[in-house]
Amino acid sequence: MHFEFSPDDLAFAEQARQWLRANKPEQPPPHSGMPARQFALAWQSELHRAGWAGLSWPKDYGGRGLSLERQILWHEESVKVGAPSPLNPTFVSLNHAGPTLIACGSEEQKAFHLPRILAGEVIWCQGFSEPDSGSDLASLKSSGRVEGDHLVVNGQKIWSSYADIADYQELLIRTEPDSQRHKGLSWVICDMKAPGITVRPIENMAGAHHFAQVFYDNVRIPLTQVVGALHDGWNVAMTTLSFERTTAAMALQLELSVKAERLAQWVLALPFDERSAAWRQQVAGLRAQAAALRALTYQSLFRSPATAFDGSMVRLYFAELSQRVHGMALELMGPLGADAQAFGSWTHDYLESFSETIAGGTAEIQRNIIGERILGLPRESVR
Amino acid sequence: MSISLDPSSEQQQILASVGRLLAEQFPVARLRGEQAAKATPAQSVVALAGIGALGLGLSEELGGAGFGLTEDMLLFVELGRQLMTPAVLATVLAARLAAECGRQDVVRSLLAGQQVVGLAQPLGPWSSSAQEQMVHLVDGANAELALLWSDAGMGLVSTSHLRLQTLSPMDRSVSLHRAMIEPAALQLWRPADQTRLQAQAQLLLSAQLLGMAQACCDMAVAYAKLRSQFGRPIGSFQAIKHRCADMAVRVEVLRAQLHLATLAQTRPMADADFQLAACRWLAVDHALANARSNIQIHGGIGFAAECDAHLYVLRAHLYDQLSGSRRAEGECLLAQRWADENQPVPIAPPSLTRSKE
Repeated sequence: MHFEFSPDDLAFAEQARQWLRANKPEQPPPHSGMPARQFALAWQSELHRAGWAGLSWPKDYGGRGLSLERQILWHEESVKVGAPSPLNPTFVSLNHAGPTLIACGSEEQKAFHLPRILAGEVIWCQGFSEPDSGSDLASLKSSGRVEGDHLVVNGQKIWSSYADIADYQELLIRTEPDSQRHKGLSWVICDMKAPGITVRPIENMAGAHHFAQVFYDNVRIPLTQVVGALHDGWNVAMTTLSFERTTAAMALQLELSVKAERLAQWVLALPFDERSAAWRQQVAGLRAQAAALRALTYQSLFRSPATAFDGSMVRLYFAELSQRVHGMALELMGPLGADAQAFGSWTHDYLESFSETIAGGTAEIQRNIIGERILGLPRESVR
Repeated sequence: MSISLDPSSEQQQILASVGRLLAEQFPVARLRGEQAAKATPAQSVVALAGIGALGLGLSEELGGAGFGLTEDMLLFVELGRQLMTPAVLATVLAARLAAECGRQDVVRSLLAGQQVVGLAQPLGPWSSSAQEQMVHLVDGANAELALLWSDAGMGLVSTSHLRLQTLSPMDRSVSLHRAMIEPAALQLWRPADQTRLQAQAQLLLSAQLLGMAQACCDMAVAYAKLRSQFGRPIGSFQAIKHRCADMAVRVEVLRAQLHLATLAQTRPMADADFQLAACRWLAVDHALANARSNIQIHGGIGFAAECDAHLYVLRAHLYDQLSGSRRAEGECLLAQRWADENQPVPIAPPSLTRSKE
């Protein structure tokens, strides 16, 4: 058990802090649409120019190949100065698609896409879920029929964040006709400008438009765009999802800690009475939980050898804590919370936090994984 | 390598062997039914002294094993798992207190298990200038000494002249007495502002609570695999499975925070007090939650005194009260600054209620 950063690491953190302070955008990022795209790409190209892009990516692919410690320090400094959150339209390209291409892509795919991703030239979106395939992803039906050297894609995808402003999509489809479940799927790079694609943005409960439904009507995708082997898409997709538990999640968790700290400042500023006493207890607990989330993440990230399903624990704890923190904020705002603009983005963030226990594997699915894979409890008999 | 919250392989080996030994010699079942009367605090203290566990974290010059607070913490997780008597915590703390006071003779006799120490908890704020003050004495009935654990400091007092009034403890696996202690009678005393003993005590208490939370999770999961209803193991039902998953998450969360808080104490880090306060809050909350869930998963038998499950609930409540309740802990936690000078100024809602005043 040890916890210390080397002098070199701390010097790196100092360098990051200086640069972030001098260069972070003053305006908060727009939530959706072209403004969100432009903002995210501008910030990514700024990072790229200054040598801060692809911190976790290998050097061979234009990244910095930094140690986990330094990635963490970078995210901590970013959160401290209030730099843009990594959960922006570039998230999928930098944390999903890029790492998947590095792990499973062809040389041509890597050479074409990786530099564009790092330089902040393109936005990617995800195309995994379907209206009838949510938690049960392996039941997906969107198909790609092999015709010569092309796939002809038909079907629909849903909950695809930023599909309306994306250049490419990581698309998971059934390429082997009549195949069952995990077999016969392929992970394909889909050009969002290809003929036959229709994007219908979906307004979410917070009033934002950052996710969408995507329809495919005989969309032709060259077979060269298949990542990994044809019909081996499930394994490639699992690789993709394993990257969700990157250090980028660290930044989101730190943002949550900062929010819990704000709540602490709020209740400490209140006159002491019965009502505030109860709030103080609740906020004290949230503060403890936010501290523990950080410790839990460190424990999981630096565990050697890594434990396969630790990520589900971190994900579940983060998701539910996020909802508790935002819920507490709303309670503290009292009647003033009815004015959505009254306290910066708290109301918006509260509403957005409902997605935390749904996206990327629902809380129920995470609990199943923990129960079955970590604790070894028997599976529920299905069908 | 600079960050790891997991014990080293050497530490894991020590723990595994101590854990096995404790499980063999001190099964939790000893604390219920007819066996209960035979299990005395002295037995446990002597047995642990025999394997050198009481001085694990003290230097070799003092007669200890030369490890540190980290190893002590890991040991106490195992002690918590087996619900070892609070007299062990009191004895280990008393040895640390004696070491701080330069009383090597006392340290040696404590580490040898020659004297057993009960745990004395004042029932109000401790004042060194008061005549005598009322305490609860836990597992001190036949102890030679009592460790006074108060907000104001830690002290050691002989029990020989104390008049003990026997109480009926909620946690029936310990003895509970009421007594009056005079500050002047304390043989050793370290005021809170001159010692880290309080922090160490909190840490070791939290470690025991982690051991308890872990034991409850293990018990519940094992039972969920074993117990069959509707023709299948109840652990296959999500209602049970998800409860087990929550228990496992609590264990991992608490372990992570406990380990970080320990490292923060030993370094020490600037936010050591905050990390410890967070750890203590989680420890009680999570140990209690797991103890309750364990009973629910066991169903009818979990409610019966012949099952180990309830012992963890009783002990968790005892430990909650030992060093101030969660309510006090919450206030302490709020008062701690997050030692991060670079933190942006909080965007506070400008006066939440002031607008109504």
